[in-house]
Amino acid sequence: MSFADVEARANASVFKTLTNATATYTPAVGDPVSFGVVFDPAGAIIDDFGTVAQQPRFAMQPAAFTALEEGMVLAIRSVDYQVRSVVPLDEGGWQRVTLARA
Amino acid sequence: MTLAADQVVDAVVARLAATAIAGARVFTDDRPWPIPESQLPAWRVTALNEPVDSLYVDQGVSEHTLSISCRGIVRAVDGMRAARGALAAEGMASVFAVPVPHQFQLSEIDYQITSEGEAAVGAITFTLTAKFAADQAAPETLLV
Repeated sequence: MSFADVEARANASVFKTLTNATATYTPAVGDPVSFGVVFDPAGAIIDDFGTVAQQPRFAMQPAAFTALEEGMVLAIRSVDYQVRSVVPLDEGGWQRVTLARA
Repeated sequence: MTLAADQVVDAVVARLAATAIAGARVFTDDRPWPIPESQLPAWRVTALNEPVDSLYVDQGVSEHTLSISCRGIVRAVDGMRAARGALAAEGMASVFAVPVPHQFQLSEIDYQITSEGEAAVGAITFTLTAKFAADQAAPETLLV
């Protein structure tokens, strides 16, 4: 078994265990797409303006929804969020998605 | 009592607080801690510096030129420029409405955005100068 295989198994196991929410994308045409995410809705930072800015985000495996991109609106726990950025991590094994309340 | 400069800052605050978009959410150095997003849009008004020129030989009365920063902060997931521009337009119209106290004069406008957090917060800062007179031995008395 290659290192990449081990890494993929580890990532799969982590996400299977830690997934705590379902994100749903509803396209203009076609059926909604739902996928599991590790969601952190309560993150926040103090930005350059001295503002406490919310930083909702989740982690996911890219294969769960390969079409995910900036600007899409996802429903998570009955709240709509706009995707602000998709940052691949760990050689693409998972990705961090930063959100904004729509 | 407060320094004459703070009284001039209060005059700016009063004019901004009379606007509709931010309403009473006008903060000064009395509230230096972070502003929650839930309190946006808001203004933060700060005195920057205050060069002083002597008016008369052998007298303590001086002309003060106070620079004041007015930073309007907004949250907008979409349409940041429009939201920021509306806040600034309303604020400047109110601050510089005639009769203008203390010779308020616009001196600079700065535009800022952040990519931190939700990347949904932006700011516009207009800086103005105000002129007033005060006696150096009575710095809490605003003469003009």
